[in-house]
Amino acid sequence: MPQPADHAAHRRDQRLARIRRVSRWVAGGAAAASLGLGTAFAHDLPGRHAPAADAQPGAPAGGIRQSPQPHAAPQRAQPPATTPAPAQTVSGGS
Amino acid sequence: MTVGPSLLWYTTRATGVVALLLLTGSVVLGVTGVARIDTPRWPRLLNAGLHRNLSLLAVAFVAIHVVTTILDGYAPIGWFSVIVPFTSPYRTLWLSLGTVAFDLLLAVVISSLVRVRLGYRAWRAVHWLAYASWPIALWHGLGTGSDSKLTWLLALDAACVAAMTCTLGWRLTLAGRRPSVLATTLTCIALPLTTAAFVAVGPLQPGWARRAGTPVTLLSGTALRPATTAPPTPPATGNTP
Repeated sequence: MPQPADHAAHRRDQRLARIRRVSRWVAGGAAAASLGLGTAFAHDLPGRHAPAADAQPGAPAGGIRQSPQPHAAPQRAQPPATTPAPAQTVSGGS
Repeated sequence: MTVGPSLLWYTTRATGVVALLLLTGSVVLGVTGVARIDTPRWPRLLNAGLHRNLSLLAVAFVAIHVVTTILDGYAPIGWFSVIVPFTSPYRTLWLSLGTVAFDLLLAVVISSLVRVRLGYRAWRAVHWLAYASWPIALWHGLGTGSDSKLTWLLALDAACVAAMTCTLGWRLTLAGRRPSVLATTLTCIALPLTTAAFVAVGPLQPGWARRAGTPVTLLSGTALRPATTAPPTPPATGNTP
């Protein structure tokens, strides 16, 4: 028959194990949240093309700068054109 | 030329927000722990253990937040500014709030680690600083973050404020007539109102970056701009971060 002291120790071990388990879940959730929030920031605050005179005083800081990172790939700068592109003609129309 | 935040900058933002969420959870657990609630489903041991682990996790995320900010290198923030407030030219006041919050958090964690040697009264006095570090960290995020206008981020901040206000309010109902009750009541009322007013007249208004103290070189976009002439680019297509 288990002694009261054994029962208390067992209960304490159970609670400590529960602390470890919940803490691991919280740590994993925090890491996942960081990933998700970083993705959300990258979506809501993407890079952009910015000519030299584009920056406006009062624009939020942390914005205008070079970004060689792959997340900005969809808005990669175009290479300088070596030959002028032919004028686009629009035919037809209503 | 493609411009925009780097991966480190996004990591900085994300870990800063997560650190605030963890700190909020830690303070909420700390407040509920003072009430000495002990039920089979929520024993005191669990509350105390989670409170401690959440605090340590928050410090870890703040450390990542700080390191990535410095490594990113866009804003002129040095290692010295991590510990000593008012030493960075980048949004000096608002960045310094983060420095102060970090210092307070370090003091709380270190004093907790040496609690046996420090004595209960001294440890408890230092531990009260955690209450101060939370709103300071919140206002640091609102004032420094150039992302404070994002709706979902404002919602997260509002959730943190609501959680703190509700917890403090609930704690008030358990307290008797003590002098600290009046101070806590006033804090419960003033915290959300002050924060909402600050957001309304500060970060949500145009030109906040300039008023917050962003260096002119960053505002004008000349920082880190290459010396060579940039190739012609189409007009801006995205939001300025």
